[in-house]
Amino acid sequence: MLSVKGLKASVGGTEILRGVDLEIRPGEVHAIMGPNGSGKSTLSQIICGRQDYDVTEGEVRFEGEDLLQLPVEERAARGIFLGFQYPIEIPGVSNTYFLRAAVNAVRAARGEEEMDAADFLRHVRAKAKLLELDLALLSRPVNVGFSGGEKKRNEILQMMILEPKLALLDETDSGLDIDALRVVAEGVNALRSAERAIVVVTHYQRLLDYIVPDYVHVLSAGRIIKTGGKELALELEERGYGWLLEEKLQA
Amino acid sequence: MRTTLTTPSLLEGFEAWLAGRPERDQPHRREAHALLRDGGYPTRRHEEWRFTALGPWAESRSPSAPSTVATAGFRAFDVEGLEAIDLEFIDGRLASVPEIPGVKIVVLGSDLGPEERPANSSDSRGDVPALELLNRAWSDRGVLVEVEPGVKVNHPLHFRFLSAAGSSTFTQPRVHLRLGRSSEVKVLEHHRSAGESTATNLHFEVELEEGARLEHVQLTLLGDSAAHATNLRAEVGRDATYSHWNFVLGGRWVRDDLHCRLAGEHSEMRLMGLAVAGGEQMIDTHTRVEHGAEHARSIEEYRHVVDDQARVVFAGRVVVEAQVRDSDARQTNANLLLSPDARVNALPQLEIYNDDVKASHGSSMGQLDEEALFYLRSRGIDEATARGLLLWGFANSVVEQLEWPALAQLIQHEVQGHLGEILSLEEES
Ligand SMILES: Nc1ncnc2c1ncn2[C@@H]1O[C@H](COP(=O)(O)OP(=O)(O)OP(=O)(O)O)[C@@H](O)[C@H]1O
Ligand SMILES: [Mg+2]
Repeated sequence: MLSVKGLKASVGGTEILRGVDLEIRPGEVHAIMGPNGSGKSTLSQIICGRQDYDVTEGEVRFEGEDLLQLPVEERAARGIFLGFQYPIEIPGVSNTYFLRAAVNAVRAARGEEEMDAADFLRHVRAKAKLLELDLALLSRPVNVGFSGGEKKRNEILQMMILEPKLALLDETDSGLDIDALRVVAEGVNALRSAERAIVVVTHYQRLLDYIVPDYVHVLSAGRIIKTGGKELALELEERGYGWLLEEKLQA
Repeated sequence: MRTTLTTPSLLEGFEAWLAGRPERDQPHRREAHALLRDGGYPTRRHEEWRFTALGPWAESRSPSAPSTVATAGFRAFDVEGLEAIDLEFIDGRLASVPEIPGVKIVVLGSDLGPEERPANSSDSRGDVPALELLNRAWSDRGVLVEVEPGVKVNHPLHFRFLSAAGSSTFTQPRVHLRLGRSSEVKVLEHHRSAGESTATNLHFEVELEEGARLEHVQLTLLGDSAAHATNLRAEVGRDATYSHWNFVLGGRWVRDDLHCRLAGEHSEMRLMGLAVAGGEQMIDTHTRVEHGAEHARSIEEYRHVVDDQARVVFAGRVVVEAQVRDSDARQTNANLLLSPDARVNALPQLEIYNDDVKASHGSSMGQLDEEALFYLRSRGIDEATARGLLLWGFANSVVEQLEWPALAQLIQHEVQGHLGEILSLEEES
């Protein structure tokens, strides 16, 4: 489904990604962990369509198609979704209005009809309830004045409404309280299916108790230095990243 | 409809015109005119008029007789879902006086009446805005509205100002609005034009006594060739709250001078503004917020969307007087420039003479937020639509704060219309 090969990317001459390889098949859940500044968000953003990085080498393919050639909105239409580490505020635009514009845009791109306004509203409310999201947030401007946790839940709401094929969730768990973590994880798990893939970027093993990954990758200084099963996350939780770096050096 | 030019132009024919006015009215008119004449009709040499000159097009006009227009012209003013008490003005003259319990309405004619004399007729030119002098000298119509103490007027007052007299005349109406102690009212000051090249200079005086509350929305929806000025003077008494909303969504040349004073302790005021300008429009707003009493709060937020060759001036002055402690004064001004020829001059000015103050002001000038654009696009929204949405959000952030649903809806509709024009033009080009 997603195939990243030898991806190198830099900003202003500084190399951030130094050759990333990642294969994701439908139905899989991947976790990406790694120290601060190792390039996790950069990788997610490049897949999503951010143009601020110079891709100097390598390729990214989604269902066989060269993703890097596509504008960001077309990637969304193909079914790629990024839950932002730092969701953006949009003053003056109500959350519902925004969600509707997004859903209709994606539907239009797929040649589907617009969703009926009343049906849409019912659908959004139902999902918001699942996420235990205060319904008042639906009529407020997008993310404006939302608490950290509300912003993250709002990202998951968007994901649930847009039903992407590939969801990249960049630290969606940080800033969530214990109950919210469970609720958000349930939201993500509800989306799991044989046709979809999910990538969670996280610093905490706790999330992976709820969203159990098939693979755990460690990204360090722009490279994936280790890939393992869910037990790797437990090991990292216990031992940190230092031993991996040494292992890598010795190799 | 045009008045023939038997009446003299504003600058030259004053004495001749004055001779026909009631005698007791003459001294203060003459005084105002002298100040104006000696200082000169404002040109760009005057600090307050650096960007727009009033003189060239005002001087050649003459005071007008109200046009006779069918009252059908007032239908355009209807606001869906707004149940209001209408005060209909044709070229500044009130068509009929409504009966409102607890509210006194007096029509001001040629004779402005003793209580309508300007309080400080000894003001020097420097202190009195030119528009106000112009109005003092020439005004011969208007209305006094007094809300009696303790009265909460159930329905908003809808001032419908229809400008119909054309290019040779200049209408100078006055409105005095007084709110007695603990009274409350909502006012919609609504300007539209029915003729070409109309010009109006409205003097709007507002007084709030102790504990009074006034929500005042000024909505300028004039035609493409209309000129308009509102010269607002507001005085806010102890524990009183004044909100003024200024939506400029039409008119060739629009100048608003807002001179608002927090005169009583614990008084509050909010000045909110939004203008969407395109074509050759010129929108010039000068505000002056005076903290003249302790524990008072002022919030001011003005936003402008400027396209084509349009020009916007925003001069916002905040003054905290020396003896006044514990003031809270905030001002923000945000501008979006959509074309290389669009211009905004933002001139925030803080004059603070007492240290016991929380004051802030910020001004931003720019294009749409790229981060926000990326966020919207990442949800599948194409770039043009995303830009439209951000533009809408920028303007709507002012409108959505208006807790007056029927009116907010109308304004949102108007704003969407303007932005729609801007966006469809952008897509074509
Ligand atoms: N647009 C940019 N301009 C300059 N430097 C950048 C830019 N984006 C990322 N970087 C740098 O690239 C490195 C990787 O950043 P990135 O945000 O991808 O890290 P991360 O792994 O997501 O970290 P964290 O765990 O803290 O979220 C950092 O050193 C960061 O400062
Ligand atoms: Mg990150």
